[in-house]
Amino acid sequence: MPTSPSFSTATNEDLLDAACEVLDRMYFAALGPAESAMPSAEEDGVICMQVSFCGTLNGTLWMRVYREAALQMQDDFSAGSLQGSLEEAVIDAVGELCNIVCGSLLSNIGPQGEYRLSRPLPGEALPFGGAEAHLACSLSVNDSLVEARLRWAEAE
Amino acid sequence: MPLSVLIVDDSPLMRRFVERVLRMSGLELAECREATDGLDALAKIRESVPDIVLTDINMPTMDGESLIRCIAEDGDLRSIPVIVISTDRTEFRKSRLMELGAKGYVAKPFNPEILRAQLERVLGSLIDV
Repeated sequence: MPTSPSFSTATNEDLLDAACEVLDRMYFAALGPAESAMPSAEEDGVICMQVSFCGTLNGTLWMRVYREAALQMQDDFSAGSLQGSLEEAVIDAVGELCNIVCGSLLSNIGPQGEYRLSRPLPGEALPFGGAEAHLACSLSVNDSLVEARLRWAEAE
Repeated sequence: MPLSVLIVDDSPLMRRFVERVLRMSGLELAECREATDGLDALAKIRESVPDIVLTDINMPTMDGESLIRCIAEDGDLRSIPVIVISTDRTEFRKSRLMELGAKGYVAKPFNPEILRAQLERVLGSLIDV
């Protein structure tokens, strides 16, 4: 009998695997280990997006990407064919990344579960102090840093 | 036969990506139109019927689940095959959408081979293999 999905047994490696899978397959990005940390405070030039989920598991995933790296990601993602606002395209690129990584992680942890994901939104006050972030990872993407943090709560 | 495709997603970037992957997969496209949600998709389908609809699920105004239901319940439209492209690859969501009338399911992240395989399975002889 399958056990109920839970983040209690999930590891940072699960989050890293989900992020790497998405960045490799859909963003065609060059990936590597992170050799430094992103600053924990919000700062100019860093785009943060979040996706919340509810259902069998509840929580929020935040992803942070330097703007220059996000520009490259949206260009790789669309093969430079996107027209319109560049700023919206960059935010869309990070939002979609956050959305797909979230869906991928949930499907890996609990494929028998049922979830509803919010649409990607600009990140609010972050759990980047670390105390509330239950899963976290960072990696080098096209020679820039990308960070993911996930806060979760067991469903009642 | 070159395909007429309708891509439904609220993200312009994702619509571009799906079109790019369709072309990378080697399929011959006669037409690749875009819609931003389910309502927009229904209007575009009624203007000109595509060979296939590729739709996201989580969209504003009318989501992909409602779009699939509308197509399945409309006698003029129900023969149009719909493939879902979604971040959600849980068994629950997949079986629910297939029961509603979706003919295929592609989970993100995906690559050209995965999308082409689904199109070949759903469209069969319509595609020049």
